[in-house]
Amino acid sequence: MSVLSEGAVRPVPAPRRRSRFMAWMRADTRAAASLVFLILLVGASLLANWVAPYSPLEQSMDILAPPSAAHLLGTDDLGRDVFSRLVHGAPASLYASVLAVLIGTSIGLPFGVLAGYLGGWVDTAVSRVIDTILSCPSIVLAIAVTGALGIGLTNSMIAVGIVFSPGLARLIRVQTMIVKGELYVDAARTFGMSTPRLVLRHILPNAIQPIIVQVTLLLATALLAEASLSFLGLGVQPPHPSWGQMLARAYAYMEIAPAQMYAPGLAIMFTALAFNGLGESLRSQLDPTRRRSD
Amino acid sequence: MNARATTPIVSIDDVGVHFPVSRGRTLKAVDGVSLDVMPRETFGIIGESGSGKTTLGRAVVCLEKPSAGRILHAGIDPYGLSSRELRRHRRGYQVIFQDPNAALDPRMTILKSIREPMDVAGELTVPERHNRAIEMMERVGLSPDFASRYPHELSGGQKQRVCIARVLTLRPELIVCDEAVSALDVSIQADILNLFAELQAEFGLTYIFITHNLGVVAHVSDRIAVMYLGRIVEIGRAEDVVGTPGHPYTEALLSAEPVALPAHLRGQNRVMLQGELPSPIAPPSGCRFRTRCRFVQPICAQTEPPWRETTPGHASACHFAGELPMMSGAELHPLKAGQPGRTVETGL
Repeated sequence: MSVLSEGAVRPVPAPRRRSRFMAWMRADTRAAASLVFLILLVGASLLANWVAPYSPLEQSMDILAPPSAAHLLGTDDLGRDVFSRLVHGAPASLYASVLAVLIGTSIGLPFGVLAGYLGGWVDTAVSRVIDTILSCPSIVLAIAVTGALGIGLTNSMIAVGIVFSPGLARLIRVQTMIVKGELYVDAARTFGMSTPRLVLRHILPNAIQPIIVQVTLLLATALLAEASLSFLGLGVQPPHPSWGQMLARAYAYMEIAPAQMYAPGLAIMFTALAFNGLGESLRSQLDPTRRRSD
Repeated sequence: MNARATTPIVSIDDVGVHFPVSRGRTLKAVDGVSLDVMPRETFGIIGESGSGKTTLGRAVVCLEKPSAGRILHAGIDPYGLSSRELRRHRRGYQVIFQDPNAALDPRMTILKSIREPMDVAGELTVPERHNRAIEMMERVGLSPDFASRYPHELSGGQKQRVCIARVLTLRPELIVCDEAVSALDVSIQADILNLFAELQAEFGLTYIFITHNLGVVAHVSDRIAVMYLGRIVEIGRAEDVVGTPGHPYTEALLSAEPVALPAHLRGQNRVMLQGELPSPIAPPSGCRFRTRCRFVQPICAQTEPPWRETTPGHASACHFAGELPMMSGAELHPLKAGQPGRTVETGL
């Protein structure tokens, strides 16, 4: 008994993908602004040698100068051009935050999904390890891991990533437990879907929403962690610039040149805001029930 | 073909489904249930909330593993298969859930949801899957325009049609309808029930129809099992069970069904159940229904009632089945009794 019709694939109205992106950008100004800011930032990072008017390491006698035509954002305590250092520090800061979050999710996500999906003793074991890691103050843990791995930006961000992972694991674990009990998961199981496919097709897409928001928050947190670790001398090594390190240096001169802190501080703040803004908008955009019907 | 007609498509043998609860106790949601479902019949399972009917239905489609006894699918023990074989085998045994909203992944378009079983099976080419999905949508009365919509854009009845189209793509032999119409409007209920009947004739389906609504189950089922607190208390042909109930619980269920008659035309024949459903963690001794039974005797607390067959194929788990002065379906239901057929009327 074949009910298959002969001939071509029957057309159905297809969703319009390209216009959807433009509609999203038009509807959400904050997301559009965040995206433009981040694109500019990445562009400036890639083209730092051409964007920056000076070498970030070039010193002059003109120290702690206020902004002027020659030095757009002034100079620091060694007479280096702040704008040039900011531009050259951007790649390090972006690399640091992305690396930390990547490591955090790639450790946290699998363990969290495993614990949430399998339950039982796996869940108990993973949860206790998570609790143990979370019981250590994060910065102390990061310092300890950096100490073990060796000083440097990459190692310190691996440390930050490891510190991030238990929080992410705990979040995805709870989400997985919720989604695992949904009827559509049961339905997929009666179709004979294998467990790995079930996790990838149904559980992850439905559990991931809070993770997306959390990741954008963590990108901002990683930026600050990079600053802290560089401040402590565990991250980017002088004289190479990073935003955190610039902030730490400016902090030392807070009483005689408070304006020094504005440039790196605002750079960190706006980047963090852009990450958050984009993440929040992305989350609601990925949720079909939230999308305005057009 | 002849051998298949005599082999039950689902054979449930002394099955129990137990869940551990706190302090080492177990909740026996299903406790020692045996029944056979024959190919192409509609088997109704009725009981109130907490009677274990949904758990039994989930066990039939291998969503719960029986803690005791076994369930055979056309003579095959699904848990004796390798996991790969089980995934293949279970495609023939599908379920339609009460809440069509929760049964569809909110992130998948309707077309994707309907195609999913075929994508998992991986037997047809992609254009064939697409075409069959669209055909099934049309077969269950959905316009193909819905294909690229998301579940939240559809009504409950439409979503239930999507769920039906989805399981039909697998050409199943058995479909467990777990309260499949309870969440829908009354007018939609009748449409969906009629659709079920048409599809049964067209695809040669077997249904296990789980519901708390006796009116629905009596009209669509060939045979009925009445569940109470994890056990079956009465089993038989639909007209026998509804016409001459053998168990006091069935009588009470019949009586609880609303009658579409003005009060002065209704008789005084009402049997009101007293009290709450006892806890399935600590069920009453002897007959489980004795705490609410109007005919309760001392023996009911002492020994579990054996099965007593009042007429061939109609049995009740009651010490006094066939001897009690119970009301017949006709007395309880002046409108319905005498006409239990396969037709479905609106306004059940």
